[in-house]
Amino acid sequence: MAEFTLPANSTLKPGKTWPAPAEPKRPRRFKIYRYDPDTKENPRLDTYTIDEADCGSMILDALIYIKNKIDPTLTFRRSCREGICGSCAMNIDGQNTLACLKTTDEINGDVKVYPLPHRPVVKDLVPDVTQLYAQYAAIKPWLQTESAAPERERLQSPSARAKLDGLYECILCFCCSTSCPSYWWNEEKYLGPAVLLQAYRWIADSRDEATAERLEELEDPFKLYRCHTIMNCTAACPKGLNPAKAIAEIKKLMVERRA
Amino acid sequence: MSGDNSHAAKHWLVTRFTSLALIPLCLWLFYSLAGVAGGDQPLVQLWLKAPAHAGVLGLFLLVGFHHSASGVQEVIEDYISSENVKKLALAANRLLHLAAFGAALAAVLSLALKG
Repeated sequence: MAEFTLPANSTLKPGKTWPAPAEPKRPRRFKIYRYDPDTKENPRLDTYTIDEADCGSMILDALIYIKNKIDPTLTFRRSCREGICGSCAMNIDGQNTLACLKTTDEINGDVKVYPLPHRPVVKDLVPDVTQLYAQYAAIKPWLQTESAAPERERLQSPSARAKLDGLYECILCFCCSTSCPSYWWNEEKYLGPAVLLQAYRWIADSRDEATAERLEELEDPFKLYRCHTIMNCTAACPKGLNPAKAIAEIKKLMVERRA
Repeated sequence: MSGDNSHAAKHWLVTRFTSLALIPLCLWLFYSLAGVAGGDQPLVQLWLKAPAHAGVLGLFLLVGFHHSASGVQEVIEDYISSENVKKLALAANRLLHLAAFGAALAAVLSLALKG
């Protein structure tokens, strides 16, 4: 049956309030989710005060400020700092996004930072995305061909290449999949918007020769059709992509294939 | 249709077609009900005696109950994780919708065919 009770260690407790920097010019409070599964304690919400005058404008700058100057135990992923790697995906002010692309002045009041929703938490703001990567691998995200390899690149016309715009830019941050209620309820069987957008990226590629097999793989009541066009994925995507449209395109191809 | 891979696209397509068909059917039903609103049973009976009225109402019931069964099926598949409970709920959904459709159709026919 549906589960109506929360698993152990789900309830968020009030946490520690850390000392503010001395005489801050522009103080700003951050409330950050803290959880360490090794302690077997419930997660807590710690409060930090930073000095915005002494810190960069992005949320990631503030997190690095906190880690460097207030609490070195705060754990989060980050790498490129420019919205390309997808490492710093988290839930900021109630929206899944990238900490390196979100500025503090976009948020009114205290800045609330949580890990991506509905994923097991490795520690603090680090979610376990193992399953998402496994689902990504399952759609065979590489060019599949049967024809003999040409001496140079497989060519593509500008119009065929243009069909990949809005698809190839996905950085696999999983802001979309973890914002999708259908993915929350059926994460083991539904592939979710990020992986389906990637599946369509290869289906739409004129150089790929496995379109029929790719569509056959998706012909399933759960892998594809759990999408109920809730559109949280499109609203959440920090790169401005439209996973819901990609899923709709796959559904259209499914119908054309049957006809 | 849980687990029946070959019918996944068909189920999705039929749900879209029934929802589209319900737009004109609902408009027709509201328009027709407004015409007999406040009337007594003989007036409704007189309206139903026109074969076109009874026929379209029968079609509305068929499409409406099919769409409803489809929608509830989606909810069951979304929210019930136990496979056994899910199978039971899906069977109950089909049976209840079939029974409700049969009862509604019988009511329409009995009114339309009554002397």
